[in-house]
Amino acid sequence: MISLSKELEARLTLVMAKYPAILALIAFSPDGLVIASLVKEDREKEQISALSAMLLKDAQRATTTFGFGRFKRILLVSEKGYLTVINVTEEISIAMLSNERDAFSKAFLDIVKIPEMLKNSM
Amino acid sequence: MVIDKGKAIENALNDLKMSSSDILGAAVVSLDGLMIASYLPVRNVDPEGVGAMSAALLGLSRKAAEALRLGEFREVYIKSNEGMIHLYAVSSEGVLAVLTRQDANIGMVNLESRRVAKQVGEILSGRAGF
Repeated sequence: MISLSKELEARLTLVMAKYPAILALIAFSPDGLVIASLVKEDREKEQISALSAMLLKDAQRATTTFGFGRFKRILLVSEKGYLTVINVTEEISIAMLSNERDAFSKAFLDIVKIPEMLKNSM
Repeated sequence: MVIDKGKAIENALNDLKMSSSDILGAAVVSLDGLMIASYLPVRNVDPEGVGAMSAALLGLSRKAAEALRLGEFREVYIKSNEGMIHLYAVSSEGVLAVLTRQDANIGMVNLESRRVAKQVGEILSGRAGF
């Protein structure tokens, strides 16, 4: 049986291969440590995972403060790019970064299916 | 007729609420977390908490966008199992927080919310004649 992190890495690799315009795909722990990563040369995986973990923590607090139940995902839209952070399990989240809207949107559809796929394979 | 900025922003939020049944509530918050105006009839929601969290998320989102070389921050969406929180930058003055149902028509909510965020930005900066 392959481990959860190997399974996750395999799925991230598939998404990255399908959409080369994605700049970074990183699985990380709640404290921002990198579990698996696929990152373009000019990007820093530790920086992305640390910022994503901070966003995740605040977003989780916001859903509680706003009385909206359990956090699922966050999407940040900027002038020149997109960042999404998705909860896979309580211990693993995924961050995806891109400058291209079309590639990001298509890859996003694949990424949001990963938690369910992993649940089925666990 | 004289309408102050606060009233004008409340009117804009009411217009936003009326524009879609998917919108549960909305608030305009200053960069330091103070509530400028709100329409929050949502159960168990503490307006002060909404103000503080909205400002904190805006600050962090701006920092992340800059550090990751994504250009100027525009919007952030948080999805949970019971609804969505949308945050829109309001010029350089604050943030518009919009709460919607989980199955909301996001395109319509975005369209109306961006229009109101622009309108509120103009009111706050005095460009709307207030």
